Formats: sequence, structure tokens, C-alpha cells
Amino acid sequence: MAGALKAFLCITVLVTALTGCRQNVDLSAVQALAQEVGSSSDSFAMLANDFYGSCVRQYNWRWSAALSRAKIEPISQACAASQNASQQWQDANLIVIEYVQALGSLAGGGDSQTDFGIPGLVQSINGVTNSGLNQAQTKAISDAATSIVTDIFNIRRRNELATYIPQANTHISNLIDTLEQIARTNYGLQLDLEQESIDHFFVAVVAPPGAAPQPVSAPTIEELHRRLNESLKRRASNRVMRNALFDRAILDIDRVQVLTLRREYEKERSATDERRKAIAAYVGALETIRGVHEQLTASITSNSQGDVRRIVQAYIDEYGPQVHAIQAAFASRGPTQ
Amino acid sequence: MNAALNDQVAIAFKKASDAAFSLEQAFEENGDMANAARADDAVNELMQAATDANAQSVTQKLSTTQADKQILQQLTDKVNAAAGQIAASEAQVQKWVGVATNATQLVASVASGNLGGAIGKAQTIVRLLS
Repeated sequence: MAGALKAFLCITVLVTALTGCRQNVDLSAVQALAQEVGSSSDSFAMLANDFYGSCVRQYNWRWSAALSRAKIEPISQACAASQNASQQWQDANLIVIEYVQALGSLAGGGDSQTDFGIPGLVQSINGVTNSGLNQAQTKAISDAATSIVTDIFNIRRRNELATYIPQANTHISNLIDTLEQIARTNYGLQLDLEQESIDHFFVAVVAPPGAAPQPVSAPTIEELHRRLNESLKRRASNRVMRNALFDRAILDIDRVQVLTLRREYEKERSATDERRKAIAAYVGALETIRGVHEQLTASITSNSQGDVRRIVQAYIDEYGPQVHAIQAAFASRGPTQ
Repeated sequence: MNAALNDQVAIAFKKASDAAFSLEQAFEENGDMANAARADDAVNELMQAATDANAQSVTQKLSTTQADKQILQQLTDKVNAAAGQIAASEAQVQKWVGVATNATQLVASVASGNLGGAIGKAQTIVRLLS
């Protein structure tokens, strides 16, 4: 039986050497990426859905601030194009996510196999043949046999991944370029439009009368009080009956209203700013996917055995915080209107 | 209109909307509410035009990646198929190891005269092979 053990060990060495041909396809790196990307599906959807969500909020602010609503379309028309674009954006997100998850599955990420039942077989043979091997020896044999079978399947996994990853590299990079452009340019502009409609609504506490509303320069509380005092003086000068206490009370009410409006405005502005932060996090997450994919492609095409795992792990370490940043941007505050 | 041009159009509409907004405020300040209402209509129309052009730009950008998306979907299908084949092969190995394990146990049961155990093992083998 010792001879059999030696034979197993020889085969293990041989298989390990064969496996070395594709050591450059790091299965654990692919699995790690797929696991991270799979968990970010909801976060990507939050951003894409908010392209439409922002249009709805913008519409509601516009509608509320409008002097006349005669020329404002119903919301079903006003945000139809945004809703369509939002859905298409999320569909494109899913293409990237599902591709990476498929790679993870091929790399063995969803594999429930552990030992193929080989330890049980070795124990049974040992029992039938009365070979007299002790527990450590039977374990060594079953471990070696399991390792051989696992390595054979891993060779197949690496070969398949080495076939498909380089084929996909240009296409995933192109799609990521577009997704990043959409987030930065189009979603960014949509948030600008939403912010403009918020500024329009809160115009009394945002911009001085007659001043250009963009860029927004919020006046100080002192400035607002100064304007209120001037306004009160104008009103008072037009009254026949003057009452100082009444004037003072009106001024206090105005102040409270101004402060309340300012607080509301700042909350709305802060919510939009949070969503802007999600853009950077989304782009960062996409760059991680691109970076890992390029590293894997480079290691496959150059057949190099560099420290792919370490490089990929450095990318993946950045991925989680970026996804959490997206979630935080949308968790802090839901749509206002 | 291509996506880049649509981006420019959306930005231009937004700038025009900003200008109309300033005009509206100037009219309001001067108490000219009729013109302020006209300017307000213009703000809303321009903002709507900017929103639409911006959304169309997204659709156009994604349509230019149609080929990339299709190839990625095809590759995803192939990768999933390869993963499925390997998983099936692994299940086959598991099955035959199970058959071999039960066969050796069947031999051991027969040798020891454990007829009940032998029948149980034979039934397990039949179930594994079915």
C-alpha cells in the first residue's frame, strides 16, 4: 500500500506541473471579484433608477414653483424619456455584473464540491482489503486523490477562463467607458437640473432679487435679516397707522420663516450633493472591474506568473468602500417630493 | 443627432433656462407679473427640453455600445455553459465515486454475511445509477 501512496504522490506532482501551464489564471482572484461585484448589483441599480427619480423630483419642484402650470406637461410625459434611459442604463449595468458573476461561477465560486466523496471510498477500500493502513495514511491517500481530481477540473476552469476573458476585454472596457460617461455627464446634468429647480422654488432664500441664480451663492443670515428690515421699512412707510410692536412681531415671524426655509433648502441641497458623491463611487467601482479584468487579460496573454492575486486584491479592497459609498448616498435621504 | 451633440444641446437648454430664470426674477422685482409669468413658462419649457435631450443622450450612448453588449452577453452565455458543463462533470465524478464506495461496501457486507446491509447498498447503487 505504501507503493500506492507513492504512485498517488507522483501523479499529484505530475498534475501540479500540468496545472502550472495555467497558473496565470488566478481562480481565487476571479472568484473574489465576482463575489464583490455580485453584491453591488443593488447599489448600481440605485444610481441608474435615480436618473428617473431625479427627473420626478425636479418635476415636482418645477410644478410647485411655477407661476402658471398651463404649459407644464403631465409627469408621465415629462419624465418618460428619463424613465426609459434609466431602465436602459440599469440593463447595461446588469450586462457587466452578470458577465463578472459568470466568470466567478466558472472559476468555481458557486461550487459546492469539496472532496467528491473520495475519503469515503478510500476508507471503504481500506476496510474491504484489510490493508492495515492507519488513519493518517488513508487521509494522505484520499487528500492526494481529491487534489488530483480537483486539479483536473481547475485546469479545465483555467483553460475556459483563458479563452473567454481576453475575448471580452475590449468590449467590457468600451461598455464601462460609456457607463462612466453616463454617470458623470448625464446623471450629473440631471442632478444640476434638479438643483436648479430646487433653487427656483427656494428663490427667496437662495439668491438676491435680480441676481443670476447660477452659480448659487446663498446669502448669509445677516444679509437676509438686512433685506427683511428693508422690506419691513418699505411696508411700514406705506401704512397710515404705525405700530412698532406690530412691526416687530411681523419681522420676527418673517425671520422664523426665512430660517425655516433656509434649513429646508440646505437639506435639499445636501441630499443632491450626497447623490453627486455616488457618481464618483460608481465610477470607482467600474474602474475596479476594468482594472481587474485588464490584469487577468494581461496575465493570460503574456502567460506571466506575476503576483496577479496581490494586484487584483488591491483593486478589490477598493471596491467594497466604493459600493458602500453609493449605498450611503441613497440611504441618507429618500426623494423629498 | 449623436450623443455628444445631444449633451451640448442639453447644456445649452439649461443655460437658456438659467437666463430665463434671471429674466423672470427681474420682471418680478419690477412688478411686471405678466412678463414674469411668460419668463416662468420659458424656464419650464427650457428645463423640460434640457431634461429630454439629456435622457436621449443616455439612450444614444447606450445604442452605440450595442455590439459590445451583444458580444458580452454571448460570452456570458458561453462562460455559464462552460461552468455548467464542469459542474455536471464534477457531479458525474461524485456519482461514480459514490457507486464505487457502495460497491465496495456491498462486497464487504456479502463477505460478512450481512444480507440486510448488502441489500441496502445495492439499493443505493441502483438509486445513484438511475
